Formats: sequence, C-alpha cells, structure tokens
Amino acid sequence: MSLASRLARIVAVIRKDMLYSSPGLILIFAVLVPLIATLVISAVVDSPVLGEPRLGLFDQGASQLPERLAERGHLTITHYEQQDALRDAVLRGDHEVGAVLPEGLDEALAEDEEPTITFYIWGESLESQREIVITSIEREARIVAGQELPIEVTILQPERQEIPPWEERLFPLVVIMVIVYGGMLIPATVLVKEKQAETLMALTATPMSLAQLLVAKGLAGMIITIVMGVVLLGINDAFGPQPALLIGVIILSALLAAEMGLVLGLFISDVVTLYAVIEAIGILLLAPALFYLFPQLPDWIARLFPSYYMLAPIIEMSLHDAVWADISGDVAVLGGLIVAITILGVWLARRMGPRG
Amino acid sequence: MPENAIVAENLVYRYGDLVAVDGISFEVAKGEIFSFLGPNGAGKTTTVSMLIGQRRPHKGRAFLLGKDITRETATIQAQIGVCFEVTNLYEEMTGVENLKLFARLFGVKDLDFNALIERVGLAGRARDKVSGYSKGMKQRLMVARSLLHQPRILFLDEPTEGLDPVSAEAIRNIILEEHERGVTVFLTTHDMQEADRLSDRVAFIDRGEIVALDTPHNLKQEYGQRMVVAEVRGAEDRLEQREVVMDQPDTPDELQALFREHEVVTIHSREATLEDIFIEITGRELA
Repeated sequence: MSLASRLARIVAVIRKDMLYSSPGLILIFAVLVPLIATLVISAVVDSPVLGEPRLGLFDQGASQLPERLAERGHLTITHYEQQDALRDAVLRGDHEVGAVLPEGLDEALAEDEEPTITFYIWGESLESQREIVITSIEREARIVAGQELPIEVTILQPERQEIPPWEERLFPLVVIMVIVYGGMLIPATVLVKEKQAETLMALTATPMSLAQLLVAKGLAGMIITIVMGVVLLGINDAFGPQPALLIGVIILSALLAAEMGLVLGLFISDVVTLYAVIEAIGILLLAPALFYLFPQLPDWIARLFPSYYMLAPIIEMSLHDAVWADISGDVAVLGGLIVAITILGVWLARRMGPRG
Repeated sequence: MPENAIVAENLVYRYGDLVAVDGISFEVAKGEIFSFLGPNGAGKTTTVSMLIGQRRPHKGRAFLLGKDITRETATIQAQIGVCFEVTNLYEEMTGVENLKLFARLFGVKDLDFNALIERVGLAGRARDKVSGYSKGMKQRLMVARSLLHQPRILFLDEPTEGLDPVSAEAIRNIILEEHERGVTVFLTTHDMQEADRLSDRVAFIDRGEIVALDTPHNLKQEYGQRMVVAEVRGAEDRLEQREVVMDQPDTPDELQALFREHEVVTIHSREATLEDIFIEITGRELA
C-alpha cells in the first residue's frame, strides 16, 4: 500500500470525524467553552468589577479637588463640560459616580460653609466602588478645608508584585481546557463511539489498519487543539518571543493529549464509562492550572501531574517571555511522556487485533 | 482440482477458558457459495472474524487467495467484502455518504454510486440519513458497502436475519448475481432453507467444531430420509397424517396399504431438510 493511499484513508476518517462524529461535543468542549471563557475573562478583567473606581467630574469653578484626586492615583477620572453629559454618562454605566463641583467650592470649604456637591450614582455599581470614590472626595475636601485628618492611612500591599493579574492567572485554565477537551476528549470519544456502534469493525475490515485509524483519530483532536491554541494566543496577544517554538510546543502538548485520549479509548468500551472516567480524573488533568490560579501553592506539587508538562512550557513562553533554555527541561519531560504513552498505546492496540 | 479461495487449517480461538473455535479446517473453492451453518454461539462469527483478519487465531492458519491473512492482512482486505451480522453503519450520515467513505478507504475512484444504490433497491433514499432507515434498508446498504470495491470473496454474516421477505429475497438475488460474476461467497447463517437454496456446499458447526461438510444433496442422501406424507380421513371425519419412509424394502406394500385402508385426501413426498440433518447429527436444534 502506497503512502498516498494511507494518507488518503487517514484524511477520509479525519474528515468523517470532524463532520459527523459528534460535532456538538467538539463545538462545545473544544471550541465554545474555551472561547467563551477567554472572552468572559477579558470582559471581567476590563470591567468595573475588578478595575479602578471610575469618577466623572463636572467642575463649575476651578477647584483643586480634581487635581488632588488625580494625584492619589487610585481613581479613573473623566472630566465633563456639561452637567447633562455627566449625568448621561453615569446613566450609561460609564462611571460608578458622577460629581458636580459647585463654583467657589474651595473658598466655601476654607470658610467652613458646608457647600453642596451633587452626586450621580450608577445604580448597578458596587457599593464598595462608590464608597471609595465618595470617601476619597470627602477626604480631599477636608484637606482643602484645612481640617486635620484624624488618621493617616498608608496602604501596604505585601508581595503585590509577585501575584500576577487575574487574566494571567485564569489563562492557563483556558489553555488546559483546550488541551484536555480538544486533544484528549475528542480522540477518546470518537474512538469509543466507533467501538460502541461497532463501526470500528467495519473500518478495520478495509485495507485501513488499526494503527492508521488511531493516527486519524488522534490527528482529529490534535488539529482542533492546535487551531484553538493559536486562536487563544492571538486573542490574548500572547505569542511570546519565539512564536514558532511556542507553536511547536503546542503541537507536542496536543500529541501527548491525543495519545492519552487514544489509550483511554482503547481501554474503555462505552461512552458513559468514558465520561465517568473523564469526570473522575478531570480534576487531576486540570490541576496544574490551579497552581497558576493560586500562585501561593508550591510549584513542586504541580510538577507531579503529567498535564503540567503540557501546560507549563506554553504558559511560560506566552505569558512570561520564556525562551528555549527556560523550558527545555519541561519539554524533555513532555517528550519522555510522549514516548511512554506511545509504547503503552502500541501494546494496547496490538492486543486489540493482529493489525496494530 | 479447483483453486481454493479460502483455506482454513486447524483454526483455534478461545475466550478465556471457553474454546469458541476448536481446530476447524476446511477449504472453499474459487467461485463457490459456501455456507457455515450452526446455532447461535457455535463459533460461526468468530471463525469469520479470523478469516477476515480481525482476530488472530490462537492456533492454526488461514489463507485467502493464497495469502496468509495474519501476514498480508491489508492486501487481502482490499479484495474481500464483509457484511456483518450487526448493523454497523454511520447513522448520522446518509446512505451515499456511508458508501463514499468506504469507497475512499478502499481506494475506489470511479464508482457509480447511483447504480450500486439502485441495485440494492435504495434508489430515492440514498440521500436520507441512515438513522431513518428500516432494518431491511440498513441491511441492503451494508450489502452495497461490501460490494463497492468488487471483492473477490464476499463474507456475509447472517445477511437476511430478521428481514422482511422482500428485503431478504433482494439480498439472496444479489448473492446469486455475485456468484454468477465468479465471486466466492462465504455465507454464515442459521437459516437452513436459505443455505439449501443458495449453497454449493455447507458446513455444520457445533460447539466450535465442524461436524459435517458436503453439498446439501449429499448430506440429505447420507443423513436424511425421503418420505411420503399423506392426509387421510379418519374417525369422525377428522384429517390425520400418515408417513411412509421411502427406499425401504416394504415401502411399496406400505403405500398400497395406505390407499387400501384409508381415504387419502392429500399426498406429497418430503425430503429431509438441512435442519433435520443438523438435529440428527448434533442432537440440537438450530435456533
């Protein structure tokens, strides 16, 4: 049998799996879930829930309050020329609080006249965000009024610089989902479904060998994983300093995931059992992402999980600008795991029939 | 002596401690329709799966078209067609999509799918999803799938089981057409009438062993009894059945006595069926 005819058979089975063998599952777990998760994370990180409180200001005079608030640096301040424009912006949710500073505010404060500041409050804002804004204005107003503050607040953030922002902590979870669900679950599911429907018997009664069939199943998962991996890196602008190497590492991770999926598929004979197993071991597969989510946890524990070696090189290159020298050790372990799972897979396939 | 399409030599297959196929040997000539008959669990399907390269025999060897199936599996599989006992089609695909997939796997490029579909009586339903097909339609599609690469040997495992008479007859006609084309047909069935009608030779398999192998005619000659069966009017005008065994020294006298002593209403001869012979040989029924 020529190489071309073998490739043609593999392509035919991949095409069949992509088009017909549970596209719903592929769409949901390997594509939709990671995409939605990425978009949700981006939206949440950029939203007022986790960002700085936003203050809209309309100053009818020339108060020093806006400048003093800006110097504090913990508010996002926008200035308006019209009171109506400020009110409309707050109504739209552009700011948690809009403040109208009356003409002669600073003088009135200095003379202890208790001037009125009008606040517009966005109804859907968090109370904590509103309190930060209003307390900050009240504090600066006291200073302008020449009052002594009863306490001096100094904010210290221990080890602040060692804890990465939320989007960086959540990104590994999305990446491992793509690898596990795309790379592993798709080959396992399509193989088990073929066994359950006994179509595997029909396929292996053709000149296509079981080995070629397993390659086709594995490639279906790998293609989805690689494409989704590149898409996610694109969305997050996280190709790192060596994009080609990064894609190479993604291919290796997808290969290991696909092999693990095929081994599962060879062991298990029905889809219900497969999903039960995936549910049971899912937390172990996703566990390395939890160590990025909670960086306080010791790194050495994450290294006990095989899926760590699928995830870590990708994350280090994409988020922390790691280069080959930084990840070569983990990639070597990844290669070792690929060899070990290949040997296990070949042994299992040979047990299934004379054509492994 | 005709060239053999299939040669099985002392095939053995076990499931744990259970010996499913226990040292069977046989030969099937090119162009022959060979039927493998036996009750469920006799070892028919296991034998077929060894012959088509899906199970490696624990002992013995099988040659198809002169090649060892365990050594040249892909080469042989390109020349055989298999229609399985279980329905194993892609239900979410249409009939023609199923055929196109397998045409790609067999490397068939210039197949007239419409002609093939029409031949198995599925014209007009080829672009419907298989999940909407009746059992008979699915079976016809599986037969079409087994034929699309014009195989030299056709394995049909219970191809008409549970089918309506029209579908069953359509499949039997296809088997005969393929036989005319010179294809070797290995038919596995427990339908004795079908085997009797279609087969050049039959093998009885029971508990993993071949207990008889010959042409249906020779088996009937060797094991069966010809009879005359008559309905006669008995007491109170009731119809009663009388049987006279043929080919015995006193058969003429018994027949004369039948007509002399009774009012004969109907009379006909009856040959032994393959089922009768199987029961006589094994002491077991087929079903």
